[in-house]
Amino acid sequence: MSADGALMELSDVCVRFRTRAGEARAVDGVSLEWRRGEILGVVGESGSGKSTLARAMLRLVELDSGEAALVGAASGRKAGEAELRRRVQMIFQDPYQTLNPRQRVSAIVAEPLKVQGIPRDEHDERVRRAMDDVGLDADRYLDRYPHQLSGGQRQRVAIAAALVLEPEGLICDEPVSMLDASVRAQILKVLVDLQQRRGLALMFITHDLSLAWSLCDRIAVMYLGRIVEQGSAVDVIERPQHPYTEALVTAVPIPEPGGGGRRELLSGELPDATAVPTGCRFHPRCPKRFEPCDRVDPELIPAGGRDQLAACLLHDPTAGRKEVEAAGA
Amino acid sequence: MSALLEVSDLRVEHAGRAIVDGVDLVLERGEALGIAGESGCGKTTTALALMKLMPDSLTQSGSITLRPPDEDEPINIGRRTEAGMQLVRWRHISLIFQGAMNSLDPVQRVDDQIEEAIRLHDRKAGSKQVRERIADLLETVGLQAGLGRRYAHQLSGGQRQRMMIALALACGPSVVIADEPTTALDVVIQAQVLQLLERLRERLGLALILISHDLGVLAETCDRIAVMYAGRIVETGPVSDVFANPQHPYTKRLLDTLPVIGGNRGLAEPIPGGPPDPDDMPEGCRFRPRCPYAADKCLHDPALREVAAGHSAACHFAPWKEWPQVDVSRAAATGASG
Repeated sequence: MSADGALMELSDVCVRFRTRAGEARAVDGVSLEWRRGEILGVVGESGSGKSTLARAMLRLVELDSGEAALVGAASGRKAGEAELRRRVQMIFQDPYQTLNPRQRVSAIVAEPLKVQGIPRDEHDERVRRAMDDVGLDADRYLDRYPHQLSGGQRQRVAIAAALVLEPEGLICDEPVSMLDASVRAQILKVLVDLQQRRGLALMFITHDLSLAWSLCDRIAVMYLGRIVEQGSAVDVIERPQHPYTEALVTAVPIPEPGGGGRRELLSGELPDATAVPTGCRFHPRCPKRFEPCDRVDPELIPAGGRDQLAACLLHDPTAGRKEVEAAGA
Repeated sequence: MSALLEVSDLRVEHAGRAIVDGVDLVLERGEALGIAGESGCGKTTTALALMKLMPDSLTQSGSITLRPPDEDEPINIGRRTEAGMQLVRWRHISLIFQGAMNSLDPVQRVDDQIEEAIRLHDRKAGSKQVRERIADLLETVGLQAGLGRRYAHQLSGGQRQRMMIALALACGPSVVIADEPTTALDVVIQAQVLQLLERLRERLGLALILISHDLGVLAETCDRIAVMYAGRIVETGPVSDVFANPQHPYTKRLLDTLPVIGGNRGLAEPIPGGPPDPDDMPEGCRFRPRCPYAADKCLHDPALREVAAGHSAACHFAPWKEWPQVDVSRAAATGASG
């Protein structure tokens, strides 16, 4: 864990999609710092906006407003796409969909080098190094096609392709949720070892809180397009400062006898991003809501441990967000 | 003494390869049995075999006996023909398929699908009676009555899963098999569905077979658990015993590597390799190539035997009083990365 500063800084990022049901505010004002050498978890359920946020960071979707800045960009203040994607890479959830089925592993892993114009004579060495980093025997696997690989092996190939440009950061969107339990542990080990050896910044997008607990240094919890809580993994999970985080943590079934016991469950489901509730967006489902919650949209403010922030009026009923645009836009 | 469901030496084969290789199960009335395992272990095939839903390319053998409380004679599923099974499925034993919430008929309103299920076993039911039963079912699964008029795509994932449960209950079975019922659901919805299954057990005296790769889900819901590996049960026992005191190296290693909220942070050493290829089964114990505790004895296939009260394991060295300190990253046969 180094305090080397930020790799990327997100300021008030907004990503909106026009749908038939109206405007979906998928990411609705997210500010976050992704620090070098740390494992940052972005946790939330489907519809929370976490995957859209990741894509926005890599400019795979356009930001409507706000900024996702790569710190220390070579080309002036704003990094071009090429530089961004050389320095930050991403791996995705479904190893069965990610790889081009008509390319051999060697071509898949070498492709980013081609795209970035790295000289051909450097490819072989860099590909082999990447394969070595992910624990795949180059001589055995380079000539194979994806259908000849298991899910875990495919995910390793995807990671190798992400590493071949020697990025400084790796965003992992549910990298293991489609893999079997015994294979998950292997892939996570590959990622964490890499992080330690190469000093990579890792961002883990996941709905799996147990995973975030065991791996991440810091966690940001997203709900309907916003960060509702963030802080160290231990603080956020052991001493949640937002009712949603609390609900998420208590909903996780524990693989221990008794399984965690009876508890208060949240009712209902996540509202649609086209119909974000007024005031605090969590208030309709919140067991602790009180008078101001349907009027005041809470700001992320310090609560709980060092560096822990929560957007909940229970900590300060007056801490409303400064609205950047008119309501009902 | 007679259990609700007894399965003995269940085998399912495809082109000479065993996918389910001699499985015994016992389910008592009102009990929840969990079947745990990773892909390819045979747990879904076991579920399909209990319902005799095997495609023709697979051969099934072994005895399956169901003794529903509302029947005088036991039902010998193993011997039933397809015509005979039509009287048994949904009426006495139901299956919620994996990914079932995506298998609702997209062009039929949901309550019409429930009606169809009810009429399968009760052709003479009056329409008022059926409507009441549907309303009752929806209420039982925690859905507002009006949702019945919707189409599948108009429901959320959690609502569709509840619909599947309603369908499974429509004809009043005493056993429901649920194959990965919460896998595609978010954690809060998952918890709601599990709570629902628990309430159904209490309210209707339902027996449940819950199949999941998620040990947390099974720990939460089940009384007993059977762990499958490569087509066989390698450990079975009360949930509290198996989790507190696993007796098979596979179960133990799986539990070691599972991240648990509030537990140890950081990564435990993973189990090397992957599950065996059915075409290339290891000699002797099927887990041997990945087992850090394996010895020469393990070249002989261990039988599943009782090692503590109600707790069985298929390991020569069980009962394990404590686990030796070994380098768990070295398996008996070093080899392929998973």
